[in-house]
Amino acid sequence: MRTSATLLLLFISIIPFEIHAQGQGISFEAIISKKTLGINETLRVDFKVNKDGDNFSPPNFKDFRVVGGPNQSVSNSWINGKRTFSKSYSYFLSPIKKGSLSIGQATIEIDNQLYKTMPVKVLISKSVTLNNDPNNTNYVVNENLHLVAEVSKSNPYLNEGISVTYKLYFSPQINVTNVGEIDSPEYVDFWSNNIKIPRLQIERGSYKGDSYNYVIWKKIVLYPQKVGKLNIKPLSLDVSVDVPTNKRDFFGNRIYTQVPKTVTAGNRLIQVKPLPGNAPINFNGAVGNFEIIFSSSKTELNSSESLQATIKVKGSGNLKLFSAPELSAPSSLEKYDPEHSENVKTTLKGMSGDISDTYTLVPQFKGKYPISPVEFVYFDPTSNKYKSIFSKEIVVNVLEGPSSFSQKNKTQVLSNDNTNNISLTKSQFRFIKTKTELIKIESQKFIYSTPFYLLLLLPVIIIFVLIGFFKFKTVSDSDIKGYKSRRANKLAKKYLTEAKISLSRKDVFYVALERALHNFLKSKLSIETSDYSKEKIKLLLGNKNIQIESIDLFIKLIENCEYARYTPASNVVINKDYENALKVISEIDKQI
Amino acid sequence: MKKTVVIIYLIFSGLIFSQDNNKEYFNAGVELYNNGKYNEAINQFQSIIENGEHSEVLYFNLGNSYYKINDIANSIYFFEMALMLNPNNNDVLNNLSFSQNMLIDKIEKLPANQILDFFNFISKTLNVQQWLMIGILLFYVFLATFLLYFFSTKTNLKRNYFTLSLIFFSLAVVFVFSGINQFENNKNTVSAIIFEKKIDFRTEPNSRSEVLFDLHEGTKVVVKEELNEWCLVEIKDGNKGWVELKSIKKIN
Repeated sequence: MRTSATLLLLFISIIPFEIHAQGQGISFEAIISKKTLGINETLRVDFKVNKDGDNFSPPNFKDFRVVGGPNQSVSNSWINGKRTFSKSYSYFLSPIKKGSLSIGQATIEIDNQLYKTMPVKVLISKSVTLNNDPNNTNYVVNENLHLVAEVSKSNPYLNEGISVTYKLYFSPQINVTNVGEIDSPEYVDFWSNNIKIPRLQIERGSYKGDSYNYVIWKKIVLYPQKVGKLNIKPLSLDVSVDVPTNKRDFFGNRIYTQVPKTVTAGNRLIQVKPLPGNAPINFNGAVGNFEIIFSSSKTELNSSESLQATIKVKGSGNLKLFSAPELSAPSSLEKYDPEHSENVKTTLKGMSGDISDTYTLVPQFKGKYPISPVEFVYFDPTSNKYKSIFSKEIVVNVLEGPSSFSQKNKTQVLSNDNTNNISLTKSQFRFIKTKTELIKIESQKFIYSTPFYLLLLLPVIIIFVLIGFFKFKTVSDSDIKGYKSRRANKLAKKYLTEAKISLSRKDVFYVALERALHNFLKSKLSIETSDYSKEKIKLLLGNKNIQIESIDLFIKLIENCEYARYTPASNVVINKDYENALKVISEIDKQI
Repeated sequence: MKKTVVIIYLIFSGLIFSQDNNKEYFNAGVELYNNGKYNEAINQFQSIIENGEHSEVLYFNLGNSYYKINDIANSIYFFEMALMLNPNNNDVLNNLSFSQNMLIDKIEKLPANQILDFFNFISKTLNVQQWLMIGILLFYVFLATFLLYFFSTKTNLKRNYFTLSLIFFSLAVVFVFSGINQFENNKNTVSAIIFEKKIDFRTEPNSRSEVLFDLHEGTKVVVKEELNEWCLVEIKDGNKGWVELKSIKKIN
């Protein structure tokens, strides 16, 4: 009876309380364990509701990883007859990133009504030192296992070799059982060469003052190919570590537990310096310390034989990243493409060895071929200077062979003649001349000089002068007297020819003859027609020392002309008179 | 009176003395060359030029000496100088070809106009001086025949002399004009030899402009234009570019 009474009491007390609770209202809230925390710490968030509900849905913890939960707990209590109900959903969160993160809204349905929590802000700061509980295996591993990237030089020049050594330090307390590379770093903007490590060897060293064992996991030689800040991505290793625990086995030995652990060597920034700006023209990017060797397989040969000329760059530096300087041989040496060979070893100090280009040269003509020294320019990072080195000059002597001059002539003149080849191919470099006629170096050229013009104009002047002179002479010669006599002479001839034409007609003939004789005298003796008498003629002709016979003949002819007007004359007489006239004219002409 | 005689004697003896000196330099140079002392031989030969005298043979000897000491540019330069005095000296042409073997540049000659080539070939047979001298000589021959024509009385002879004088006149004109033509050509095409190991040919006469191509020591170029310290030169394949005047040496 007593129990039933209690039960009844219980029921009675519940009913009015429920009514009371409904009147109180519902609270649904998110409670976080701390408002600020380190990124390596965990956070507990409770979603508390004071009335039972359904369909709880947590927020999307997008900036967190859910480490634990959800855990549910319900509490019911009566204090002084007052009932308190509380239900909570708990999550353990570990932040993913730093900064001010917010935990979103959780929802719950109570009495068909949706309730939401307010979003909560949490400030995530950088990692804080974890509790150094020496029994925590994770802590032990963290303290005793380190991956370190050692960079030989953090501010190299462009193309200057640097090395990166990854060392895995572990304290003697723990044992490393298995190491695997998860994430290999990429060396963008570097020329990289991995130096193979044949066998991992444990060595003793110290890390931050403590004695440690270490293993060189990876060695890499890098040649930066870009100026500026370059990032070396971290290397991540997955290491299985045996950590001692406090537990001891039956024999009293420590029991080890195996803990998997990921270690990373942090990002390394490399500040690459550009090479100084005053680079010589022939600089082709070689950085290091080099020497140049230029050699030839032979220096004396016959034409159409071949020789090997080798340009070798020897030393240490970025040998694989540039090419040997080009050979500049005379164009009359036939040059074939070079054969490239490399003999380069890469160590932590960088590349060393030599690269060489071997050219095959075939001379075509006899003669001397100096192959000019090869210049090689490199940057020496230790002295921060460009250095230019020269090889020695090689002179190739071609002893036998055609000369290029005779070759030229042959193609021009003797394209199809083979017989002269012997003499032509024997063409030699000729000796100097031992005798000469030295002449003054003329500053004044003959052409366009005064003597040049004078010499050219002189003939023209001479011609004009002569022509002019003769013109003048004829004019001066032509006085009236001379003119008249020349005219009379002409007339005499004219009349004689007239007379000759009319040999058959007597009267015309003698008139013409008489006129001819008169004119002749006029021209020779300057006698006017009015002054015409036989005595005068005789006298004048006598004065001119003309032979008597001629004078007589002339007078006779004149008489004949006069008689013939009145007396008949035969053809014979006429002919005879004509001949006499010719004869006497020419005779007197001669004698004057 | 006595003074003037002495002065005249001194002048003449001085002249003769300097000429003798040059002869001595020349002979010494030949001797040194033969003993393989090429640099000293060059000094001897050069001092003759400094004294204001030259000859084809002197330039030839200088070219040879420079060839022996592997000085490509100077060797070619002096052979070309010798060719300026006589374009057809076979010895010079032969030794020049040996020097040209040492050239690093190989330039293909531009295919030239054949008719032009023929005229150039003809024109090159004589130098300017010779063309002009023969031309002037022909002028005097023309003068003589013209006078013969002028004074001869027989029509037959007159006609012959007239045609002869015409022929000589035209010949004289041709010779003189080829001389002038060659001279003008030479004046417009001043050749030069590159004296630096390597020179850049640029698009403009300044060092900021783009480099077109580069040529090496000893290559012959033709100077087309000049501007301050620069000149526009053309190479055998027709390419042109500006180079610094100091890196070339003109042949004249």
